[in-house]
Amino acid sequence: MSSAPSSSRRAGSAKRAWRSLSARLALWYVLVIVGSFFVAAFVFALRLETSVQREGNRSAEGALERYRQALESGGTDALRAMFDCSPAPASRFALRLTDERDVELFGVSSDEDSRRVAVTSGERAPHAAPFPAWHVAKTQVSQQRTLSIAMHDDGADHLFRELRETSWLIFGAGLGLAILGATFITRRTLRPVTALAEATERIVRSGDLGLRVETRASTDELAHLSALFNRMLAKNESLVKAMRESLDNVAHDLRTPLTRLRAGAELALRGAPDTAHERDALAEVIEESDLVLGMLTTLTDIVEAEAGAMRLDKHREDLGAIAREAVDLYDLVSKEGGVGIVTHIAANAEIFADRRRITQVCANLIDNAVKYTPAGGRVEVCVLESGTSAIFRVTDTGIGIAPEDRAHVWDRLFRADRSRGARGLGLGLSLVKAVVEAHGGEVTLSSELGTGSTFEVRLPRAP
Amino acid sequence: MHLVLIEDDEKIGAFVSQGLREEGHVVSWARRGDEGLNLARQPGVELAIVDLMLPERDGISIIRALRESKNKVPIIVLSARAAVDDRVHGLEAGADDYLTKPFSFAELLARVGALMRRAAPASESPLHLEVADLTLDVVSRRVRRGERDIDLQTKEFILLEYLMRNRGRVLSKTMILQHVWDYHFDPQTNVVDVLVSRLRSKIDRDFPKKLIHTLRGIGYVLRTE
Repeated sequence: MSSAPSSSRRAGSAKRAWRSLSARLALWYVLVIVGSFFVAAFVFALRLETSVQREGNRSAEGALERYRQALESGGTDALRAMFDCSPAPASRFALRLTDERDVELFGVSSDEDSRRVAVTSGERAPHAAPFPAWHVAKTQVSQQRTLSIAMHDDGADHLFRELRETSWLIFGAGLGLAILGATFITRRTLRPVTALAEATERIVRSGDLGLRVETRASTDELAHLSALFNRMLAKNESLVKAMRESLDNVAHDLRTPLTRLRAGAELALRGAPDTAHERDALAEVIEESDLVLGMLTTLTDIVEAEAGAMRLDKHREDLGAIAREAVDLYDLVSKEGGVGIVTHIAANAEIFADRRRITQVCANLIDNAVKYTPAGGRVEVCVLESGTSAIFRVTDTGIGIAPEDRAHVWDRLFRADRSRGARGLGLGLSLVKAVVEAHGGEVTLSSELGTGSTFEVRLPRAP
Repeated sequence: MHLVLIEDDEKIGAFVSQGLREEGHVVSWARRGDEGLNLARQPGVELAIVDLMLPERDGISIIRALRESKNKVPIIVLSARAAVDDRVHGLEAGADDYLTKPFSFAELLARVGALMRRAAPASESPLHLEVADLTLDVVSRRVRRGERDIDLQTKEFILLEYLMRNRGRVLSKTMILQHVWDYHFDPQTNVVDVLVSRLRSKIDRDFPKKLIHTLRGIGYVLRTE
């Protein structure tokens, strides 16, 4: 095995993983969680800082007030004495006394940073101090002098550092948990989808239409999707099966006339040369091949109509006119056979249909009736309307159809024993049923052996 | 009459071109699409018969190319596909008629004749027809054979007129069904045979010289032999 295909497959699967819905979903979860964390931390830090600052400034103001009182009562000497005998209020600390031109008259500071804070923060509002742990305050004293103070809050500094560390810790742990959780949740949510995809792939790969997706006992959308998918698979399976069967049937149906055709030609060739006989055989070959062609056309029509794939060129049509035309076609043939055709045609039986196809339906039913009615008999063709239906009915006084045969008259190539001798393909009634049903109608049969049969086509009336 | 046949199947091509030559036409037969298009573009070509499935260039594209270059030669399409779509595509591309395989030669001939007549509209459509001692007057609806008046029913009259206008030409059952009943599919009935035999009993039975002839498997023809 070479490694190239497997590595390319790995690359492909990585690409697929990146593109996959679950990876993207997990990523979005994590992004949302991280974003929320940052917003929460920011707001929290801001509030905390403000409150620490306010508290610190208040203590700075307290200290400043003590120094001011000392200054007012004893001058700078008193201040110096305060520093000498008591420790500074903070580890880092600065105190400045300036005149109106900002010239420093007195200054104490623990370090340069503190001094700078005292100098700059004197110009600013105390809440906007640049360093969170620095607290500043200033006040006016006599002789237009200003006393300002800067104090470093070691506790706040410590608090902020710890808070920062804890935050990163929480963030790190939260991120890990978020990734794990998001992966878990998306995997779990999408598991039915993955199962669906896998099952589909199995079905595609194996070509086994009997396979189904596993479904869960749940009412959520994905369980519904799986169930729907299974229903589609079942429908596909039955459709493919029906198509295979009809193909088998068509092949089988065509074998008989083709065999007859071949046998006729072979018989003519085997005999002694005889032009008249050979011409007869040739004519028969053409007749048989026309028959095969007719069957093929009809079979294709039936299969198409049954599969719902028949193209219907529908227009508003008068069923009565169509029936009259069909009767006209059989007028001669029926007279020849000594069968009378009687028509009762009501007006207003309008349908929305493919004229050619419905003419074929009527013609086939009349043909059937005329064929199986002995001389002296009668065929009655009625067109009437009833509620939302237009009805075409053919009643004959023919040989009738035995009860056990009635369900089979719609089957392709079915011929009851007693009608074997008649001309035709045995496809007419199947076509009638298929076409009528393709038009959203139905066809029914009632019959009595020896008395006659009635075929009734019900089509929806045009609105 | 110069016809171009574009058909890649040897057997069908030979059958059609031989048949058309026997009818007195000059036939140029192309087996490939490009060759066929070139032939059809030549001056003097009066009709083209085009198969749809061809090597190099299919029939629809040939028809489009001809029509785009303002070539108005009448075109009959031959196709093994009976689907309505194909028929529509063929006619939309600019074909004048459409025939589904397998077809009867008589029908092809009839359609060729119809297109020729359409191309030359000056051709007369006489109101009085005569074949041997049989006469038919379209206006008065009178039919006479020899000295005898013959009474025909409507369908019989339509059929006789059709046969007489096409004297010497074979008419298939399908063509008769279409012409007399305006039926465009095979109703699987022997109605044409019945009508012809009725007509024959009125026209031919009492006369020694028969005019209506049956060509088994092909159709019917009215001629004096």
